[in-house]
Amino acid sequence: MNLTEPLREGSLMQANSENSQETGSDLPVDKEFFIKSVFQTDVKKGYDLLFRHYYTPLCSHAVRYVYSKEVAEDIVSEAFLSFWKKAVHEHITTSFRAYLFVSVRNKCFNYLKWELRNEVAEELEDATLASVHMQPDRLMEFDELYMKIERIIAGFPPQNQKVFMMSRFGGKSYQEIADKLQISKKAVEAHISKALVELRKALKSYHLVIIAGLSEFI
Amino acid sequence: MRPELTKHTVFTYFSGDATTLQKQIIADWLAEGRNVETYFEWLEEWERTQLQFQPNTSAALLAVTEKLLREEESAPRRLTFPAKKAITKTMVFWAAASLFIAVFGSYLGRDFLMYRTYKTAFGELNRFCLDDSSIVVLNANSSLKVPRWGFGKSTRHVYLEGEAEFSIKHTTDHQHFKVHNADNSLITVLGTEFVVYTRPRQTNVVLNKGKVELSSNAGEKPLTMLPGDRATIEKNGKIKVEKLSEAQLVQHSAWKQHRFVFNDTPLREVAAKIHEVFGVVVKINDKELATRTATGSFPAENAEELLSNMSYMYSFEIMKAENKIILIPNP
Repeated sequence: MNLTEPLREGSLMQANSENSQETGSDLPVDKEFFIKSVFQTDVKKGYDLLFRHYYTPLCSHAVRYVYSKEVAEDIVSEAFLSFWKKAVHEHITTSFRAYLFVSVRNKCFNYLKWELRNEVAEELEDATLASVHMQPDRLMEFDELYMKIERIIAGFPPQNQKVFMMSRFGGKSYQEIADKLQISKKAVEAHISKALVELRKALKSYHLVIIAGLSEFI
Repeated sequence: MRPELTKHTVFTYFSGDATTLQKQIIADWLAEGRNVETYFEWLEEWERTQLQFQPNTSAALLAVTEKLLREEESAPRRLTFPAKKAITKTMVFWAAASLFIAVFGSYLGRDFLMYRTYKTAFGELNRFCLDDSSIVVLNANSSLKVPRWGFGKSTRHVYLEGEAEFSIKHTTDHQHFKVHNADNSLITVLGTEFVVYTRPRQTNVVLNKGKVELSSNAGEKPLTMLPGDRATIEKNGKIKVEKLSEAQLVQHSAWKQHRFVFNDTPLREVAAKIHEVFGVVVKINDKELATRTATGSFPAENAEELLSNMSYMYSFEIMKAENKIILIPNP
């Protein structure tokens, strides 16, 4: 834009409203642009801002898959570490938001696969810049996954659900749960075992269809 | 005629309450590339209105930053440049510094460049994934060295000092996973779960699942371990095996929940353990007190907590001197 030209109010306003309509909400977009611009001049500061802005919503999203606050935080921290180590900010073509959400979802999936020993689905690559994981059906599959997990857990018998949540979400040890609920530690172990079996069973039949030959797209 | 898709619809969908019809509308909407970004904007916004919990962001950022700094220290591979525009003085400084470090680093040893080291501080636990998706939980005051290149090409080698629990992923080409211990003994696995303890005073391995082969540096025939086995390598290199009960097995991973499990353990050994894990020196000047044994499972995130949890049961008082803790028997 030529600074000597007088600003034309009309066109500016029109541009802004177009922007709003397309994106649907001003604030998140502005923050993204702001962080991206900070990365141009001060990478470390940009990274700090990025972390502070997205850490909480990402953790909240992750816990819907793994049901443990500690694991969720580990996963999100890992995603940020990856981001830094791969210097994603230098080559990224999508928003940081999109990249980070996809990265966190993939790690959640890998964690679930490890935890539930699901032999069927394959490992997912870390989020690639080629946005292969942003295909519409893949996105919705991830949505369906956390919704399904929520339904399964909501369907646990009450005592079972209570023990599972105290352990995973509450981070309580088996002994603490046993003391709190006045049951034996063995009973606690049995509840957790049963919960995992149920999760394993329900998610086993739930395939995440992997696009064959992912590497070709990178 | 297609109904309008609004943010409200998508929020309803994220909450799990969308109808099949609404899901189809969303699927069609997402098929248009540019809407993917909007999808994520709305996902972020929705999450913020439905936060499942409030983590401590500052603490997490601190931890991540420290981790990055530690890794830069142990292997300065890439120093990022602050500005892309002009060549600033800072850039020149970093160029010179990285050159110096590269030369210095390679002089000091291939270690810095060839291996990536995971370390834990006293009282710290670290859980992480290796490139082959194996999961490692590293106990306090421990380090695991992993080759930067070639890991997973033909064999997977790692070097452990301290204590860690491994959940090794079985690869499709049946690659071995080898853990080199501090005393030069070697653990070979295909895919399994086990806990290794390897510090100056002893090396032992507890197997939870799968099969593991253990060979000590005494050149004896390697021993094959089965689930539930605990193998201890004695000072002369001989390997002793015992079968553990379910309860005892669980005890060996108790540290993952910041718990200490003792079974007729003399307080002298408890003191040694505290030193290993927390780096705190504990002195027991009374001979009788040092031989008193402790049994039980104690939660503790630091030395003070563990000792105060035990003080009532084992009748001792805790006194803090400049940089150590002294235990005095309670008459």
